[in-house]
Amino acid sequence: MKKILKFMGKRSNWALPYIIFMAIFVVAPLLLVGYYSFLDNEGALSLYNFEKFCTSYDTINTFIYSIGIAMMTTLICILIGYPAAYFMANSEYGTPKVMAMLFILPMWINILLRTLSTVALFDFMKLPLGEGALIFGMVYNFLPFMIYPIYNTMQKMDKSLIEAAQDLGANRRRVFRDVIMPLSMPGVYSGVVMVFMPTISTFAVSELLTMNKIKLFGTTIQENINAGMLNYGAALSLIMLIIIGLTSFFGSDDDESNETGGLL
Amino acid sequence: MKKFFAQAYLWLILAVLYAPILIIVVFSFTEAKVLGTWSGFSTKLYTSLFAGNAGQALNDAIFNTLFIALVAAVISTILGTIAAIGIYNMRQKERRVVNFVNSIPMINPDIITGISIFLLFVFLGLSRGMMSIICAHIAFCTPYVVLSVMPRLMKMNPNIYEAALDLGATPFYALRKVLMPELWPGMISGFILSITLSIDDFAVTLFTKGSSGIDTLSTFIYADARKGGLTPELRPLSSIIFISILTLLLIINYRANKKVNNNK
Amino acid sequence: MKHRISAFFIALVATFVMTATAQNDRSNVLKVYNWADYLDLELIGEFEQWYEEQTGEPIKVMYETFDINENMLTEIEIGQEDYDVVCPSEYIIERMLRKNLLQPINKDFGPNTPNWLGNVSPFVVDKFQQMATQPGMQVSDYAIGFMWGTTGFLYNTRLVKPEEVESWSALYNERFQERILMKDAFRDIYSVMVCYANYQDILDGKVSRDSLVANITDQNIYKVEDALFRAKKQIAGWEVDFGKERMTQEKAWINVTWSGDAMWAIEETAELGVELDYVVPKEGSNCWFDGWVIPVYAKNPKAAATGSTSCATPRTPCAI
Repeated sequence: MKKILKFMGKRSNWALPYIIFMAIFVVAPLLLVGYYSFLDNEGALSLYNFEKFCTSYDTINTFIYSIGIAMMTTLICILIGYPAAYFMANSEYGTPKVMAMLFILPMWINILLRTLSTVALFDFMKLPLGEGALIFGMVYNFLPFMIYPIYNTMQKMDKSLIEAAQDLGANRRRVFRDVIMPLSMPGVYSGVVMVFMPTISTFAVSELLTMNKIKLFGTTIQENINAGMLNYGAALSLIMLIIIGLTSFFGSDDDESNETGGLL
Repeated sequence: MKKFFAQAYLWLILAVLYAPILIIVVFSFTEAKVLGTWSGFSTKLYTSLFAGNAGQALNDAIFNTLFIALVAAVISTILGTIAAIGIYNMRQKERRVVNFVNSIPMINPDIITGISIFLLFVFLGLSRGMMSIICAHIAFCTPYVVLSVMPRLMKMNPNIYEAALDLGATPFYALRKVLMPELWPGMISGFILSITLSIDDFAVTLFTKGSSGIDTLSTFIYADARKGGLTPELRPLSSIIFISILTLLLIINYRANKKVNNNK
Repeated sequence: MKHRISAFFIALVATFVMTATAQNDRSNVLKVYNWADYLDLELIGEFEQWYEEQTGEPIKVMYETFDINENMLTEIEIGQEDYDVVCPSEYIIERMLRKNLLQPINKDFGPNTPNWLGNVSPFVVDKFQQMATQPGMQVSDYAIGFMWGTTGFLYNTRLVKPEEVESWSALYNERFQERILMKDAFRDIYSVMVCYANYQDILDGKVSRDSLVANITDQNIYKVEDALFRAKKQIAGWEVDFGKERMTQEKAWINVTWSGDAMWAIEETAELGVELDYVVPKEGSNCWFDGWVIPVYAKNPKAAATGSTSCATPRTPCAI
C-alpha cells in the first residue's frame, strides 16, 4: 500500500489508471478488430475478408456511394455553413449573439428524434423519401457541426490583420479572398472532418430516411455484425478506420484548442 | 441592406432546421397515434408521460439513460482530471503517445467504438450488460474531460502544487484544496460534455447492451422506429427536453450578456 | 457545499456498484427472446400468475424481441447470451441443432402441470423431424412448434386489383412505382424470388420448390439478385416491422410480408376502414415454421420448458 502511495506521489504517474483503462477499452478492442479482420471463416489468418470486399460488386458500390454522399453532404454544409458563420461572426451584420446558440441547440436533441421528425416533416409535406431526403437529413443533422468550428475560428481571428490589409489599400473582395478565407481554413478543415466522418459511419439516418432502400457503408457493417459475420464486419470496419484516419490526418494541422471545452 | 440579406439568410436556415422539431412540439398536443394527423387539441400525452403510463419500457429507458450518463460522467471526470494532471507532468515523448491514444476515441466513429468493445467482450467471453455499457461510455467521454482540463492546467501556475507540499500538505490534500479549485471550470465543462455525449449516444450502446434488456432512450427509439409508429409519448418527452434546453441556453446567454454589460 | 456534492457523487457510484452486482435471483427469471409483435404482451402477466399457481414459485419474465432469425442466432451463437427460450424458424432450428446449440426440453413438469406437448400438430412435428441431425434424434425433444405460415403479398384492395398480384411479376408493374415494401429478411425474399425466377422449370417439372429453397447455388443467387435489381423502381423500401403502419396510412400499396403479420394487419386496419388482403402468388413461396427451443446457454431451463409447453395448451391463446 505504501508503495502505491509513493508511486502516486510522482504526478506523472497519475495518468496510469487512465492509461490502463484505455489499454483495455480502447487499444485492445481496436487491435481485436484488426485481428478478426484477418481471420477467415475457419479461423486461419488470411486476407479472405479483404478479397471478399474487393470482389463484391455490391459492397464496393455501397462504399463508393457512401463516400460520394459524404462528400456531397460536406460540400453542401460548407456552401450553406460558411456564409452563415461569416454573417454571425461579423459584427457589421448585427446578428444577435444568441444566434450561434440557436444553431447549436438542435445538436442537443437526440439524433434519432431529429431524423424521425424529418421523416414526419417529409410525410407531412407529401414529399417522397429517398435519396433527396437522405441528403437533406444528413445536411440537417450535421450542418451545426460545420458552422460551429468556422464560427469559432472567425471569432478568434485577429481583426487587426483585416484592418492592416484595408490600410494597405485592399478592397473588400481582396480582403476576403486573401486574408479572411485563408485564416478561416483551419475552421473549415475542422468542420469537414466533423461532418465527413460521421456521415460515412451513420447508419440510423439512412435507414430511417430511405426506409432501408439506400444502404450506406455503416449499415453494411452493422448488418454483417448483427448477422454473425464478425470477421467480414471487422474487415469492413478496418477499411472505414483507414479512410477516416486518412481524412483526419489531412485536417490535423490545427491545434487541439479548436475542439472542445468552450461549448457553453 | 446587407444586414437584411444576411439576417434573412440566417433566419431562413434556422427555420428549416427547426421545422421538424416544431412538428414534434405541435403534434405533442394531440392524441393521434400517427405523427402528422391532428385529432384535436389535448394534453393527454403529457399526462400520460408523467403518470408513467407510457409503458414500463420507456420509463426504464429514461431512467437508464440518466443513470448511465451520470455514472459515466462522474467517473470520467475524476479519471480524466487525474489523468490530465498526470499527462501534463509527463516528459515530451510519453506525453505525445498518451495524447495520441487519448484522441483515438474522439476520432473513431461511434459504430467502430461500439463494435470494437463488442468484440472485446465476445473475445473474453464476458456477457454484456450495464457494466459493458458504462465502461464503453467512460471510454469515449474521458478523452473530452482530459481535453477540457488541459487548458486550465496550462494556464495555472505550475508551482502552487509544490508550494503546498512544501508547506506540509499531503498530496491528496494539495489535490483537493489547491489543484481542484483551479481546474474546477474545466472539470465542469468536461462533466457536462460527458453527460451530453452519453445521453446522445446511440451506436455504442446498441452494440454493448447485449441481452440484459437494458435500453437507453436512443436504443429504445431505434427499436420503436423500426416497428413503425413512434410511441406517442415520445413527442411530449422530446418537446420538454427541447424547451428546457432552449430556456437554459437563453438564460445562460442572458446572464452572460448582463455580465458583459455590467463590466462595461 | 463541496463536501455534500462529493458525498452525493460517492453515493451515486456506490449505487452503481451495488446495482451492477445485485441481480434478481436467476432461477426466478425467465428470459424470452421472440419475434417482435408475435405474442400478446398481456399473456406474459397471465403466464407469470399461472406459473406461480402451478409450481408455487414466483417468476419474472424478461421479454426481448428480434427482427430476423440471423440477428437472433448471432446473439446466441456468438454473444452466448443466456436466453432461456427462443422462437426461431425451422431452418435456423436445423442450424442450431447441427451446431449443438440446443438442449432437450425437460418434459418433467412436476405433479401439477399436464404435458400438453401432444397438442402440437402432427404435421408440424413431422416437418421438424425432417431436420433431425442424428439418427434416433427426436426433434420434438428440442423444439415445440408454435406457428407456421407463408410469405406473400399484403395488398390494399382499394388501390390494387386482385389480378395484379396473382404473380410475383407485380414487382415490375410500373403502376406500383415506389409503392411496394419488401420484408428485409434474407431467407424469405430469396425463397420467393428463386421460385419466381425458375417458374418455367417448376412448371416443366424439372425442379421442385423445396429443392430450390434448400439448395443455394451461385447461379440462383445471381438470378435472384438480377430479379431484385429490376424491381428497384417499384420498391419503396425494406422493412421488418414498420410495413404494417405504412400500409395503414396507405402510403404503401403492397407489402411483401409473412402471413401471420398480414392477418394481424388486415384485422387492425379493418377497424380503421382500410381494406387489405393477403395472397400467395402462383409461382410459389416458402413455408416457415417457428418453434420454441431452449439454447444450451439458458440459465433457467426448467421454467423455459414449462413456458414453452404452455404455448401448446388448448386454452392459452398464444397466437396474436
